Amino acid sequence: MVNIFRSISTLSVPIPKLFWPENIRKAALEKSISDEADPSWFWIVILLVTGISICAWAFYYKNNLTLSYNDARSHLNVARRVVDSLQPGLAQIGSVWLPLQHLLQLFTIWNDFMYRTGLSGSLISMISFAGSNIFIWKIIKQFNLGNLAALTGVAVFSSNANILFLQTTPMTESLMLVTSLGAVFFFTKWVKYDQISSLILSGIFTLLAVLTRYDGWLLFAFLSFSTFAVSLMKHGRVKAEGHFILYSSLGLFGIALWIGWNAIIFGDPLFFVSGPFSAKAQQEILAARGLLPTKGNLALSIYTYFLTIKENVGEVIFILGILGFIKALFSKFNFTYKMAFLGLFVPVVFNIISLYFGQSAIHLPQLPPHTWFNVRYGIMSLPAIAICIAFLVNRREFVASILIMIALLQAALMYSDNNVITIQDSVRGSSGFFLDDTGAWLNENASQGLILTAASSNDALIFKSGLPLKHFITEGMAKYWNEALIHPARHADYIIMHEGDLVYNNLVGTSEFTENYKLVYLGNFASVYKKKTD
Amino acid sequence: MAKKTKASNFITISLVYLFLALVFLYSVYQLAISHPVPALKSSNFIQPKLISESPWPIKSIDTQIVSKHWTNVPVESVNAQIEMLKKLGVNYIAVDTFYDDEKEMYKWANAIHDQKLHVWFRSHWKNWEGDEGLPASMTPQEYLDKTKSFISHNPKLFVSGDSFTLAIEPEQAGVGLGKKFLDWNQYRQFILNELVYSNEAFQSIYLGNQIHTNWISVNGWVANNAFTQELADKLELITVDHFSVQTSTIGANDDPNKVAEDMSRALDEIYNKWKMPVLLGEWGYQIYQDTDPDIQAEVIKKVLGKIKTKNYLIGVNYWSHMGNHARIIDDQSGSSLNFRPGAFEIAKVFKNTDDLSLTSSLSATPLPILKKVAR
Repeated sequence: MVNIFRSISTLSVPIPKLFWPENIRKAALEKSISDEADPSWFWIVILLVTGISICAWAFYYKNNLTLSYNDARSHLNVARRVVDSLQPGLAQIGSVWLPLQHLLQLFTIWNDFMYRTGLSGSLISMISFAGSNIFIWKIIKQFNLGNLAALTGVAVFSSNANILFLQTTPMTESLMLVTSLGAVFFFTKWVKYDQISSLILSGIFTLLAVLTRYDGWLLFAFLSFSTFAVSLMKHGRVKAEGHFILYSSLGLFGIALWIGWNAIIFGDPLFFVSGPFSAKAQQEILAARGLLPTKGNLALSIYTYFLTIKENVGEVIFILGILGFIKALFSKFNFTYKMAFLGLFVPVVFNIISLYFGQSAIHLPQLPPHTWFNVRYGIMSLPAIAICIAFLVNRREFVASILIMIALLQAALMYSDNNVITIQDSVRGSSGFFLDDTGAWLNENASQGLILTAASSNDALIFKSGLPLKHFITEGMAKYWNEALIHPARHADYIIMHEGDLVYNNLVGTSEFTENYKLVYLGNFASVYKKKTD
Repeated sequence: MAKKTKASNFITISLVYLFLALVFLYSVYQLAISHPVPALKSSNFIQPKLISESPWPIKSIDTQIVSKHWTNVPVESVNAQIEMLKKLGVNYIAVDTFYDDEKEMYKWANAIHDQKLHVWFRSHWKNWEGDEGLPASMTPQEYLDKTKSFISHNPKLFVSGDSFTLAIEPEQAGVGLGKKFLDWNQYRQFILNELVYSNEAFQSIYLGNQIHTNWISVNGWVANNAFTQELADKLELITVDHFSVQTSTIGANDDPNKVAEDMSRALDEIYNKWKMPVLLGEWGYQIYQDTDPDIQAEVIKKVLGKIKTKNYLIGVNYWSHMGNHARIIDDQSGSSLNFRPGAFEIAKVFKNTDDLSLTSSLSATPLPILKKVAR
């Protein structure tokens, strides 16, 4: 403990002695002083991308696509249940997903318009998109690549058809991008200027990232290691320990919060890992059906993820990104800068590891089982590619112009070919089920009485029904749920289920169910049973 | 030395610029050639004349469930089913076998042609909508080319007077962002291409202007909202698959008069909009749940009775003969299959007679055991 305090106390030294030779230190300082200021048109660029973001939302909303992902509707329901359910309260945040997106939605989700249109979540994604553009610009500037390179990076990122679509949906990808980019930006700034405030800000953004998606946990681990390594090189072991503790305590706090939440609410600190709604439980179902071909196959995992990136960014941008990556690796920047730069590639490593260990599944039409599922994970690498391409600009206007035009052409090609893969996933793939029929039936016929259903399987259908959430007995309504799974007739006028979901597994075959309920609707995805009146 | 470095830099920069220029040109080229649906290459929409028959030129029954989704049905069973359907007064029998399954198609087509009846081929490729676990990866251009080639290589499958629908209900493949057709313009273009490509293919096997290629079934919403007068004029008829209002609540019953009224109104609406002959490409009762055979017969009687009087109607394809709730032959996979009462109501209309003795002439036909295996 004494060592820890000693380590932290050393951090107040304003200009640390650098680890590497004096001439390099001087050069770095001179370089930093000569940083170009942001041009006057920087905010015009950000205003422009914000305008594009709003137009994209209006366009996709008009085309009924902002809520086309089933998960998008579930994210809205998770937040909405906090204020509208049989047992409202913060506990409804649950354990399926990390909580930040849902907590942010609480500011607006109470409003019916914001909930039904999905704007409650879309707004967070759109603000995150604008923020991501700012951070991409700022990161590129940290590498002293100039305004033209920064503009190119922003153009590559903001013109991508897939991110433009995803930022209109209430999904968590956009929020994940902005929080992780924030963490990397401030980390890069800390590497460059050695300001403690930057390291703290990086830690705060990491805290937000670890509460957004599990991708953030690997970013936290990488940046924690990098903090120690960079500081060790610059300042020695004692200070490195202090920097490490300062940075990592913030991210660790987020992780501890989540583990504590699981322990308090679900009685198991690792409920999110091993619970019935965890990613692991869901992937086991896929694995049993032979739909997890990447599990245990590293080569296929790598190939699948790189193919997913290519499908998300387009082949030309993908190739340019690789060239930019090579150029960046062989650039004059020292090891510490490269550590910061590599932080952008954490999503690549995270997704490959997840695929290899069977913790996640990505399906592409080119690979068995020849469908679309979770293809949006490829978009997590877009910022890295955009920043890599910025390395190619080399302060040449002509090159920047060509690269920006190529980015725009790539986007135009995706639109003209109707080949925006994240949209395809949501309208043709497994990420979006076709629930209109059952949803409409429920709305017309089941508006009176309570409905028992497993939200873990049917949340999107619950949203689609348009009925208030207080009509549904779901997993979070423990007071009703536990009893309803044994004696459904005491509470439920209707039961919605499909083969394999929690309600189905508990009720089918029981006398209580067969004696009291009759099938009234046979849907494509789920069936509806009604309590017998006679 | 400095000169050498300068020259080397110049070459490097030139190569970079050249590379970027090539990438740029490649992107422009890709954009220029991206046409998800091909442009029309001819205006050959010509169709053979329909032979006038009472009450309609097209009296058809669909075999979709069995001919598309059951496999290994013995040829004797297929023959017996066709014989049964012939007794109902049909002149067409619709076969919905995937175009991928050539052998199965020949089995059905031969059985139908042997009974001096015509085949209405109405299906698609498995890769089109993603059937039987295959990816829905086929592009519209690939679809058109592959079907054209399929027709050209199977001249013995067709007989003059048959009908061939290149892609049934193409809207099922999806229209909109992220789907097979970006918009309804592309969709309409594809429908016209269906005629052009199949006409060209039939010409190549000396069946030009002898096969009906314009019975392009679409659903009721599409017929009303996504067609244009230009498309309707070129098709010369509207083929609509419409099931009118049928309750999807299990155990609930429909009012037969209401079903008939709804069907009548729906057909009138389509005709009044386009002023073109209408072919009811798919209709059957009940499609959501098993229904009492007598209620089914009553609904069939009311609906066919109501629409029989419509001058613009040129035919009906009852959907379908076996294998689902709307069946008119009981399909217990047994050896003695019987007509349900609804079949007699169809026969009365198709044969244009109220002769009640018809019932006795449609005796049960023993069928070889069917092997019901979903493909």
